[in-house]
Amino acid sequence: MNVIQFTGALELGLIYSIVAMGIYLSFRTLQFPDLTVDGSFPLGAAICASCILYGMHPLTATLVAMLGGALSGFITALMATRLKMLNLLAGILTMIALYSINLRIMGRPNMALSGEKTIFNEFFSCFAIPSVSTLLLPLLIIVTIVGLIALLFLRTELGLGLRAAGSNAKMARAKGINDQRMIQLGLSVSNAYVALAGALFAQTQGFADVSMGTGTIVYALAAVILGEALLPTRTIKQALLACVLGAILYRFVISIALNSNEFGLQASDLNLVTAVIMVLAMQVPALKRHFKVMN
Amino acid sequence: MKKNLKIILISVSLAACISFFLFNKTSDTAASSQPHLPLISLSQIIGHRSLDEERRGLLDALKSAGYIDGKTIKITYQNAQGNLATAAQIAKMQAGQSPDVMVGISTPSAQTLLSVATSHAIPLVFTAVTNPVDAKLVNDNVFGVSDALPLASQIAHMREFIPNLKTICVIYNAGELNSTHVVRALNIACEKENIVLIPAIAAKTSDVAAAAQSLAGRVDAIYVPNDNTAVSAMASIVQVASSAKLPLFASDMGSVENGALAARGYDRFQLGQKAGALVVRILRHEKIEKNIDNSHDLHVYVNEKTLKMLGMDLPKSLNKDVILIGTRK
Repeated sequence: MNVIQFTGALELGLIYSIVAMGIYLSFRTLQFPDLTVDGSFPLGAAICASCILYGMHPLTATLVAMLGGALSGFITALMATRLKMLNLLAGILTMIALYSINLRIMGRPNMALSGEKTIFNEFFSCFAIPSVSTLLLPLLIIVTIVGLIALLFLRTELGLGLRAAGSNAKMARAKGINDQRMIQLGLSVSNAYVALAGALFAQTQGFADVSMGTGTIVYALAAVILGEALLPTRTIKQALLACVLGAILYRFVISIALNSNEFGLQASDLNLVTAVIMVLAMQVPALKRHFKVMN
Repeated sequence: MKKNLKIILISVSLAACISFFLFNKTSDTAASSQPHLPLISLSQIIGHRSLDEERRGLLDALKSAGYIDGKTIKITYQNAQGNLATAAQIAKMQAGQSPDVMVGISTPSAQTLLSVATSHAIPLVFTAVTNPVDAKLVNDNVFGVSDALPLASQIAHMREFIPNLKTICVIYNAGELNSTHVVRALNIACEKENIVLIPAIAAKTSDVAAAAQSLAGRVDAIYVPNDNTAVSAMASIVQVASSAKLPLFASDMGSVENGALAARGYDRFQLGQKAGALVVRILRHEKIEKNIDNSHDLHVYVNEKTLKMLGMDLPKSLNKDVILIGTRK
């Protein structure tokens, strides 16, 4: 692994940690398996790219992208709560519908952004580390802000209600919490996060593509679970930190798999190697317990 | 709190160990090989017949110019297995190896390489890209082979087989930039010739059969552009076309081998060789006049078995320069 690959994995890991935080909100806090993510990630990228090419300030474009993501999450929640659809199905339907909507938004399947203004060259250019990475510090700042917002939000009365609705809906209702409203709120926030990650991905990579969402949910879940396996998650702070570290570690797993070519593996073995390393990483907690017993 | 700290420490040191091991590994291999071998890095989005063919052509061109992997040159190849985030990670990794030339096979691969190649001033060569202008792959430091087909000649080609052609169906994935570009141009060409163009859209390979079935009986012919999704599911289109006795036109040789009636298109291997030639010129510091090469030899491929099955004869005007292909078993 070289320095650029190292920082590259960190950058991507930071972007995907925002997705992981969104997933933590829906899957873990609300217990809602939300598959909208595969659609809202490219939605964020599509809206952001279109707005930037339209001449909007990149920061506004990113915020509009988040708003779009929130709307998509809200629609999934409406289908689940008002139309009484199975949660999984509601997410799937929004996800597949978003594929067409993303094509409509961009007017074509792929939109190139290279040479355009992005929040990184407009807003964060003073945070660049020369000759190492222009993106690392800005992304770190964004993830810290976004993580703090999630943390503070979950500690408010509203956030507490959201957590209650997720862990015991009946009990929450008895306490006067509108659990359906909470699902709508939670999924909106969660997908706004995912769309933000999509918008950041488009701005760092220089293009938005309608197929870039495929597998987002799988990778984000893997990151969340990896983080939970390796780190304690008793408090919200720890859990959010685990999301970030899990997403970064997952990118490192892929980096290691990419380097495995040197051990005589083929390029097509990448996904298999990634899976095997993940299995090994998941054994770390068991090893830790083992050593604890021995001590 | 103390316990948490301990666990975080353990995981951080674990990560540090892994990265230390990897840093060491690469520096070892770098030291053991000769220091002055030029490095070429290839990044491809997905394993796919046409793209693999282009890569083979590229490696062939390098080889025949005297650049042999491991002896006079070092070639690294990564495949993103269809995932764009992985492609982005590959781009970073390859830039870190400071190659002499980066090669992107397919539009998204070239796009992920573009920003790192520009920021590290590494020449970028792309191939299997239909519309480099839309993809913003136009830059002094970027060279490549565009595979856009002249579409007016596609219609003329279909007319050779079916003189009174009225309606064509085109099967493609609206999510592929290459295909939407082709279909837009084809639409304009068809309007000029008074031909009705009916699109059938498939987002995944598993949707292609249904898209093809929706057309049987409504059209005179089926046309498949260089669309990754449709070409990957060519076998299912061939099945529908043969049961409905519809002539099926494609854009590449592989599809004809799989049972399509005919194709007027480029030889992917040749396109790859052209991209390889660009790489060679960059390595030799020769001047390249045109950054994007888009004029290539067109070949006509016809599947004899499908021709017979449809009860057609080979058009006389084609007799000479046609390449006949029997269906592979």
